[in-house]
Amino acid sequence: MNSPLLSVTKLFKYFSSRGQRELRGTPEQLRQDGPVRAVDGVTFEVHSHETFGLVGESGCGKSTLGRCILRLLEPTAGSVAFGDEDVTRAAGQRLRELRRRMQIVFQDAGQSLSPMRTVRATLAEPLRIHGLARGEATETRVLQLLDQVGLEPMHRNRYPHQLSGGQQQRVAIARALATEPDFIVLDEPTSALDSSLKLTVVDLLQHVQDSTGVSYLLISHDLTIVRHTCDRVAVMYLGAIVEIAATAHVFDDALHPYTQALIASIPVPDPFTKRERILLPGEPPSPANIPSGCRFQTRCSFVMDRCRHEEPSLLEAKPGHRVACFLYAEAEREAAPT
Amino acid sequence: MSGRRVATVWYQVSQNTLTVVGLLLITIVVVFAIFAPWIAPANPVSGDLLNTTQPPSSQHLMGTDQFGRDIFSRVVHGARVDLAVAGIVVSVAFVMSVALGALAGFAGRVADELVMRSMDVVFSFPPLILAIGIAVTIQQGGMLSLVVALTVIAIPPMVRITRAEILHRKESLYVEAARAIGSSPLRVLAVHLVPNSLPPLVVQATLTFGYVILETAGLSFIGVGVKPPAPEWGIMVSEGSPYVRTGEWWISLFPGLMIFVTVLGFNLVGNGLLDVLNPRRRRQ
Repeated sequence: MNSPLLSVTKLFKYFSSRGQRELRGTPEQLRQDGPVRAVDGVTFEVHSHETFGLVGESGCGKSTLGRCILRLLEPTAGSVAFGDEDVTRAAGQRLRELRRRMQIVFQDAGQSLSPMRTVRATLAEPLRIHGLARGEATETRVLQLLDQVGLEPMHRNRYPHQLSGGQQQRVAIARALATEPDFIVLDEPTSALDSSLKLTVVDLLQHVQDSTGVSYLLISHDLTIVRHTCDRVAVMYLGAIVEIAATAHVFDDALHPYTQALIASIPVPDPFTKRERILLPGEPPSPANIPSGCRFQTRCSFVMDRCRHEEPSLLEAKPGHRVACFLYAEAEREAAPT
Repeated sequence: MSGRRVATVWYQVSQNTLTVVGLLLITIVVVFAIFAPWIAPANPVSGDLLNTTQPPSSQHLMGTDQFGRDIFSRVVHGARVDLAVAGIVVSVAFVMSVALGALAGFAGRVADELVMRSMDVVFSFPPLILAIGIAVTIQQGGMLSLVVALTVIAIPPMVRITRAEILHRKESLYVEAARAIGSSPLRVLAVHLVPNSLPPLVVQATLTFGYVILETAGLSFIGVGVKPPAPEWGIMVSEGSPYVRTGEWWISLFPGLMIFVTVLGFNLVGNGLLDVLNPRRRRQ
């Protein structure tokens, strides 16, 4: 495959468990003080025109990861490369140019729109900041953006509270599209919407991708939508990616015990289907207190002695299918000599 | 705020009877202030010494004082003085509070500590005592020292409100969204944080307007504010007070009523705005 659009390498984000100060130092040093390890050494890449899914339960660090990639949060360690630009080191004009090329759509669209600004003002802001349109061209572009997300010209004079939830999300998407980015983080873009609206928003996003070639990082816990839209999927548990593969492989041939439990939890719309449920014992441990060894050992039904002492790394078990689990250790042995 | 939003607020305000009453009271006082020379039948400063301490009559609606000055004329002109002082104080305090509050809430720990601890110093004095102290120290003639003193005591509560609003909104999703599209910190502050923080400040400014009128009258009453013979309500109450015991109640009563009506008006409007601008009611 050609070189990736975005590559995230060993990215860490630790939060102090006391107070709000930013943590400085290497992850190994910081681990002594028991920080909240929200993102704990994540590596993956996203290619052009790709929709990359990031799934996992609430609190596993998905959104923190998304924000670190965009530098809305400062990563503790690791690197994010976008094209040939190092996102973690960019500043000033270069950071602004990155902000033009990388965008985000938040879960709660209503909260992400400034309450005292009209839709027009919200959409014109990125155009003005990046010098993309002036004067009458701004108005033309705003109308064009509204059309692109399926809103009417009259909506440009509305305030956020005068719009429905679905319309607010469309405005947020239009704002992200205003700068013609190459990459958009979609942070649970459909979770706040009811199911009929979900599909229209998903369709809109796919339509946008078809016409602009933008890449998405779709952060979601809604597995049906991930299956429906994503090319590849990464499964996150307690701050780390435990499995990463093409969507079909993750859903039909899950390797990691956590992924298997996650997939088995998807509701099937047929009351007569008998299916095997995998119940995970207990609650996920706190990210401030991640078990040593395999982070999933406390809830895994296949736990082995080795899992308690050693942390499995993310290795290729099948072509293009990587998993962090000792059950597939023979793959590790094969991979080791190279 | 845009025209459309003002229209919405106006509609909601007009649904509340007490707020409308408050607006009416304020309107009367403002009309007095603007059209004082046309409304007042007599000169407010020079009196008719042959007609001192006359009770209210058809010729002198509110009677005359010990120098024979027409009290109604003085009350009407007094609206000018009191509203001018309160208007200047509240405007200056508003602008300075927004600047200081934004600095405290946005520019980091050091600025925050510096601004807020200075505010605590001002807060730690009883407000009127501090105002007397400042006014006496400046001694630049009535009006200016009064305005400075009242501005100083009006600022701290408004700074606290601004800072709290900014701190709270700094964490909001629309600020994060603004950063994500490339807004500079200054732009985030000016375009997103400050405008969205204004509603509770407008309420506080309205209420402050009432307090400042009360304090102007209070300071002038004890002689550190506006100086006689200016037709200021507090002075008038003060000048009339010895006569209350001998039965000439009208000298103090009418200016006192004006203070009461004006302060009541601003408080009613302030509380009405508080209801309307309350975020929990905003969606209605």
